[in-house]
Amino acid sequence: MLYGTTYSYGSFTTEGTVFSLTPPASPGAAWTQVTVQEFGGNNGAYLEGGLVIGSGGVLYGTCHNGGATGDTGTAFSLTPPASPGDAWSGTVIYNFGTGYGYEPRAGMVIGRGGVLYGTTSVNPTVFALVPPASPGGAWTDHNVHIFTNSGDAPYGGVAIGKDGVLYGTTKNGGSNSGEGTVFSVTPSATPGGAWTETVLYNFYSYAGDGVEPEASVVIDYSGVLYGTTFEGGTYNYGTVFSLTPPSSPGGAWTEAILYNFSGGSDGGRPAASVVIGRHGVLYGTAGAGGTGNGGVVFSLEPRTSPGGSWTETVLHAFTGADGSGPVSPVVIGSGGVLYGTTEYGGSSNGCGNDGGCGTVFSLAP
Amino acid sequence: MRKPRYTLALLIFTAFAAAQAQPTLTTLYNFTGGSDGFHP
Repeated sequence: MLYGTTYSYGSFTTEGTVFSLTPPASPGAAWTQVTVQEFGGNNGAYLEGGLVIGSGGVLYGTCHNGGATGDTGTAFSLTPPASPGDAWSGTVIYNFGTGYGYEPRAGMVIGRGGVLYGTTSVNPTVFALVPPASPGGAWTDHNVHIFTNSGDAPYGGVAIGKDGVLYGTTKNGGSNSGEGTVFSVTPSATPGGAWTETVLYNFYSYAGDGVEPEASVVIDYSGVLYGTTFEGGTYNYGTVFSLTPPSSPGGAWTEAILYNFSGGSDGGRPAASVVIGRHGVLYGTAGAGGTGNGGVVFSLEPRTSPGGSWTETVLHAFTGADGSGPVSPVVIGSGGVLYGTTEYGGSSNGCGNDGGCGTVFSLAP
Repeated sequence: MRKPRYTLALLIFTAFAAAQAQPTLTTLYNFTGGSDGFHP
């Protein structure tokens, strides 16, 4: 079963949906789409991030706008029905704007105790939503970190590392002409104490460096972070980078560009995070370029010797009819099958957009 | 000079492997802009 979000209208009165897609009983038959929840108004609007699945199959997500406090966004839960086919139960667990930050542009991650962590793009913060002590109670918002410069907008959410340390990126801000950063926020050793933010890397540290990351990072078993930048690199069509932790505490993290997109047949402008597959192979999407000019799904295989280069392979180049503009990450399913979405393209333009209404795809090895 | 037979076999194998290596894309769902929403 796949779950996802749409940014735009479920009908003329709503603004975004959560959907499920159920695989067919027999191979080759059609998948079944069900709109789990429509949004618009007080329950939120315009979903820009993905979903996370919690205990009991409850889905959690964010809306960029809507809500009860002036169109500043919501966090919501969707509880599955007791009987298949019945309606899901949607609840707004937090109205952004009642606290400091608002307008989240990414989904959330679940930490210990069911705490949800995410980012807001306006009055930028890293936030924690703590579940109620008893069912039906209110969720509590804590600002894990408030970015002091309003330009330090984190667009991509956070990843949870060892000991509960959160890692993320800001699209702008930092010490090099505001081209973005990679940061960590570390929980206090004392319960309830303040978290500590550290800028691990400032983009545009040298000519040809990546700039303006729009997605969060992923973490491998050794603590190395991997991510993408939307722009910059040798050809200014974005990069995939790694950030290796220092060998001794307090030392500098080491950035390396693993791949420079050219914007040609190899793709360009990656807006989503990568995922780590078997043998350390990275998989991702780039919304521009490709032989069909509709963006690509790519893999990036690790170097085989120290100092060697990573190898990019275009797994699929979108043409429009089969989708266009993949701007979300892929997920890896059984048998190494990749699943993802394209924002545009596909067989329908009933949304009034000649570029198509978007697709869900699988990519089998 | 006669070419080793395995050269052709290797070429065929390489071509076969390259063909096998191309992943297969399947469109699972096309959004229509109705109650199913659009722009995932």
